[in-house]
Amino acid sequence: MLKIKNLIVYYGYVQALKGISLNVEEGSITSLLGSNGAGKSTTLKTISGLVTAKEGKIIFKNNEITNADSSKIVKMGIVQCPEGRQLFPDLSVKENLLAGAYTRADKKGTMEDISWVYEVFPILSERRRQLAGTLSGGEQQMLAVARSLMARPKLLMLDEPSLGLAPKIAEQIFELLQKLSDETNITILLVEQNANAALNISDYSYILETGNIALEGDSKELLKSEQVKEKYLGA
Amino acid sequence: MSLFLQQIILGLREGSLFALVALGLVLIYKTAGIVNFAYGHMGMFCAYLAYTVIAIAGGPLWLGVLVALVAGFFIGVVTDRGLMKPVRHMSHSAMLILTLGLLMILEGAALQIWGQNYKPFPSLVTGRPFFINLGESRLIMTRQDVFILVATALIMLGLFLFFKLTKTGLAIRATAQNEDSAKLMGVKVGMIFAFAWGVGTALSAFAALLAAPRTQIHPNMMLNLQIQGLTAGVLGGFTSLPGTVLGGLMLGIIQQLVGYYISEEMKMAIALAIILVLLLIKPQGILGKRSAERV
Repeated sequence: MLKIKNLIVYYGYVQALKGISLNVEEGSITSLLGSNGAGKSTTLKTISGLVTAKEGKIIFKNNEITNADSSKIVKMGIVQCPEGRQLFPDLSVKENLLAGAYTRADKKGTMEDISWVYEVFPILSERRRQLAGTLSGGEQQMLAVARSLMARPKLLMLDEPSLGLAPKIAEQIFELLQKLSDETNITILLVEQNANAALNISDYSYILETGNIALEGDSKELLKSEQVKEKYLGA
Repeated sequence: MSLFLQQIILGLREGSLFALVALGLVLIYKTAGIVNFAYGHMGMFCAYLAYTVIAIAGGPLWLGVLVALVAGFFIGVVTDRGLMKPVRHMSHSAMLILTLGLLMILEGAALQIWGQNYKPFPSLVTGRPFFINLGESRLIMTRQDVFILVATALIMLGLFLFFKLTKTGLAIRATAQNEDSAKLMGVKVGMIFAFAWGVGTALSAFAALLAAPRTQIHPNMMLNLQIQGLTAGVLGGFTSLPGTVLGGLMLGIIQQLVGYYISEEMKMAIALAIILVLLLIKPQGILGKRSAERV
């Protein structure tokens, strides 16, 4: 579904991505792991069109989208749920959801999706009139995920959805992603520092190290690998 | 008592123009996060264009107004695309300094093109003035004065509903709060900024046309209004539209009362001092809200 070939990205003089290639299969959960500064967020931002690629290709459903306008990328069905939630703090919960549906013209479908999102996250329904900035961390993360779902993504990219959340809440988020993947046809690209959780719910994983892909493979096998255990799972 | 009431009404008359100027300033600030120092001068330039259409080319008044408003919109868009966009992500002060530069360019250009003589400009609305009887005294409100008051209220209401009810309005608010997130929702933020600059500058042009019969047209015609509009905006909290209008009206009334009861020469200085104290008590402005954002 999504193919990245030899992607190179610079921030000024600093090379953030040194030629990474990866593949996301339709219907799968693919995770992108690695420590801080490995280039995970940069990869997502480049796919979304927030950061410009210097070299390389990003191909989505046989269309090249390298350095395309971010609004075009959203319209094609690639939606990113950014790191640290990045909600619109002074908009209400409902307005945040409506903003998520910005590219959609069908009013009826949008309203139906809002009801669906409220079913998935009952707490958001309770707080629909509240300003997003006043929600708790976990609620904010739920709203961030819900907001990205409002665009009806084909490929949902999540950047550290468990960051800063209590373990129990983080677990809920991962369960939800698993459920989304099982019950809808949304493909998920998950960026995580919590390697254990990510490997457990994903089908295939890439491990990034300072702008390169250090390791890749079937997630279940990576979980068993001694090298991964020692280096990334802290066992 | 009737004299006091008279001062209040005169204050409202002044204040509605302050409010109109402030609305455009706040619109640009809310969206693009920049206080546009050239704002008044951009309107002044458009007023000269209207003058050119009417007095030099002999066109009808409505055409002059239309030209000024359309030119205002385009000058705003071009300023955003050409001047602001390249420096937007460098620093905030770079944008501020550019607006100061633009102010000087517009002033110089107007002086070169149209000279330094004051140019008269007609009222947009004419007709028998309204007389208001207040006991022993009588107050005269021209139709233009009433028009400014009504137009300001309608523009505020229009903008308010636009922000609350339309998709573009929501996109503007979202962009103002988090530009990158808005991009990730598929908002073309460049268009949003250009739009706000365009509408804001058209408002400045409108304010300049309304002020022109009293100030006449000259390169510095909007200088006082720019300061008063800015003050009105700050007083209102600089993000709330009703607050902005309220700020403008309050400023008008305060100035009028100070001018009448204390000192005409000192009215601006004393009015500004009063506002300083008001802001010390309520730093977020009269209707300004604290952001709900958590750190």
